[in-house]
Amino acid sequence: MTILKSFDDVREYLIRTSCTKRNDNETHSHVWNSQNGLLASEARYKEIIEDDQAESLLTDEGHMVGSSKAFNVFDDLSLVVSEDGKVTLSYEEKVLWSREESLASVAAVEIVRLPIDMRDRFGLKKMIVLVTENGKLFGMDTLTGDVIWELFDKDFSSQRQDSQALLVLTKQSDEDASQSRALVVHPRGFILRLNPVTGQLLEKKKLSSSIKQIAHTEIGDHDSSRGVIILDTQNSVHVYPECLHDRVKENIYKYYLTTVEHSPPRLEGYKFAVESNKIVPKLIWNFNINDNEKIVSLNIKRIDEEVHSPARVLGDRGILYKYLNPNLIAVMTQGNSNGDACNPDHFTSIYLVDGVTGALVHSITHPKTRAPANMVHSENWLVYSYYNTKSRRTEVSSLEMFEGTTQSNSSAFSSLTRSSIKPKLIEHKSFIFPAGIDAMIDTVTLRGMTNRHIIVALPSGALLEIPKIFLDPRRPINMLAEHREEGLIPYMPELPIPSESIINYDQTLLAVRKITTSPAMLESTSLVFAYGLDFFFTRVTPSKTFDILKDDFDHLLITGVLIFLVVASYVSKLLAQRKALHAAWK
Amino acid sequence: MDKGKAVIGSGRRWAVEFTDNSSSPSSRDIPDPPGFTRGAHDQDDLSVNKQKKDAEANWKSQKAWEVAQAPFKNLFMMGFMMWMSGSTVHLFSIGITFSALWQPINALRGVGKVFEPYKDNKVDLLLPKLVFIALNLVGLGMGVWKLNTLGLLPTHVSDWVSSLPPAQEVEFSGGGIPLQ
Repeated sequence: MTILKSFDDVREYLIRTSCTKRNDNETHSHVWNSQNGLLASEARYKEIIEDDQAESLLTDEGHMVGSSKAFNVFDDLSLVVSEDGKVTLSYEEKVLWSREESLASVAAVEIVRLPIDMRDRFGLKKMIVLVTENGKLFGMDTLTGDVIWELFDKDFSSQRQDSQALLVLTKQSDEDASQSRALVVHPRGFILRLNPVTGQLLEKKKLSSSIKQIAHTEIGDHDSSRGVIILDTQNSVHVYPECLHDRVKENIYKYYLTTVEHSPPRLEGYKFAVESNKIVPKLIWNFNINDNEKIVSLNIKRIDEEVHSPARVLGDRGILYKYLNPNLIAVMTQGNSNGDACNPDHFTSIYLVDGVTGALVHSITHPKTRAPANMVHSENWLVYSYYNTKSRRTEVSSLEMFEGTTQSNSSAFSSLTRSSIKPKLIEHKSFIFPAGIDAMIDTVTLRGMTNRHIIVALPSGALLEIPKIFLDPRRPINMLAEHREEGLIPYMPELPIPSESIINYDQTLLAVRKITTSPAMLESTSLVFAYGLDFFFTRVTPSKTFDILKDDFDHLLITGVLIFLVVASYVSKLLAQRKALHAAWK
Repeated sequence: MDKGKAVIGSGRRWAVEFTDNSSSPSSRDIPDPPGFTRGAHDQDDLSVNKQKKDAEANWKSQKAWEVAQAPFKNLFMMGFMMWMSGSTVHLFSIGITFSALWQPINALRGVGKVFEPYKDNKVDLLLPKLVFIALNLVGLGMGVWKLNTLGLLPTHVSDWVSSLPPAQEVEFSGGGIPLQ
């Protein structure tokens, strides 16, 4: 086992190597196992890290070959680390094995819907598009995990994780694979337009200055693609793809943009105006956060969220309308009220800010808590986690907002024309979570009818599926009949971790950075993709598989019974006719 | 069955009708037997006939009233069954409720048929019919009420709310992505 380092690359490559003593009648190809991490049982090896000389060989004698770095392990045996993160071991110019190391540092992920002729009936086959910190892009099949296409552009790399590339799906075509479009936007001012299904590079553009913020435009009709509005640091506005410029300009009064500044921590809201045929941003509001706080997490809702029901049905058959503000931004900050770095008194705060007006919708402060913080923001609810420094445990808090029993305007939600931006009723409950949390996401389905589950990545390497009803802030402490009617379960401070809810079985996932979910064509099914050191893809069915037959469905028996019944009804009809005839002749 | 009868009826063309219902004498040639006065007999027969007819009309109207009041007994029966089945939705209560709804509907559909045998020029069937209809409507009402207690009637907003379309966005807020 060796750790491969070089002076100009901050990443360290953990390589398990094996080599024999220089035995003449043994070839190296047997010794080096292409399945890295799995050693061939017949190979005898020693750990190079114990061998000072070998390590120095690796660290010092790397020399640049083009844009890659090559290391001589032994004579004729060389390890090449390319700029795109590919590690190749070759012996006498022959590649023994190679591995994409960049896959361990993914910056952005989108799961793309395939056109009808390429996907399966249930839409489980999709394309996972990965943007890595090296600037290498991959298209990966969800069913097989095979890399279908790859694309490398150095300009989209994230040096020392300062600023990461973003991936925006602008069009997911159902008819034609060549019509799908995606944008990769790097804050340094680079935009790449590509086809996420085929991996074809269509266009690359460099803006004159770096990008401050991007906003998605509204999705148009069926054929048209979604674009982005880009605000750069010189306060000029770009629309991309450019063909959408005129259409966006016509409707520019509808769009608002929120920028996030970290020092001092604040949000800024812009609207747009057209001046001398150009779109110009206008700063309309500022949301300042206290200087002793820093933003640790910020969440907007999913762009194309499908909300099935605008209200919640109560036990007495009454309803509570959900507070469905599409412009709501959830900000989580961590502060130190003591001001003393050696003896900190941490607290976390949640600010719910309206992205159009900049109005504070709701805020909560949790004293004696700090990051790591995770947030899930969807529909009318927010679930977030933090670490309680007093009780030394992770806690999960759940918040749900309602408009009350009446709705001010059921056909449209406008932040500007509402009499009050605040929800009438906010339910909030916190729970003890008996483990840490690395990442958290909600499941998403095609029409949003299916129950929601929260997928949580635990530091132990498990992916846990928590039904949202466990995190329901309406869970009552005193259970009444109407609560039972509503389907609530009594409040218990501790959330259970049942081992049957762990969706990755024995496939431990260490250091999960993020989880992405995507809908399948089946309403019951949500696709889950977790990434970190490893990739893990599975599908979950939060309301069970109500729209597919079970594997053990007895087709033969049902068909047999049906045929029997049809035949029996015809036979009995004939018999009845005969009997009637006989009776008539009597 | 009807078909079979018809075939048989038309097939027995040779059947001889022994009963002679005709009151008019078939022939004046043959004198009446001694001691038989046709006119007196006719008169007598007529009055008997009339009495008979009155009795029949009476009987018919009595029967019609009986039929009209029959659903009343049913109501008690139905009410008891409904009370027994409870207010939770399960196979038994649903079965009872649907039979409670089906019976009156079926009866209302066949009002004419039910009173067909008692049709008579002298019998006023309107009132019994109205009573019959009213009682069945009461039965139907009880069925609907039961349906409501089971919570199967869409009478609350919550029954419609999931079909309401979600509110449209008027403004589109974007950004909010921590880039640096």
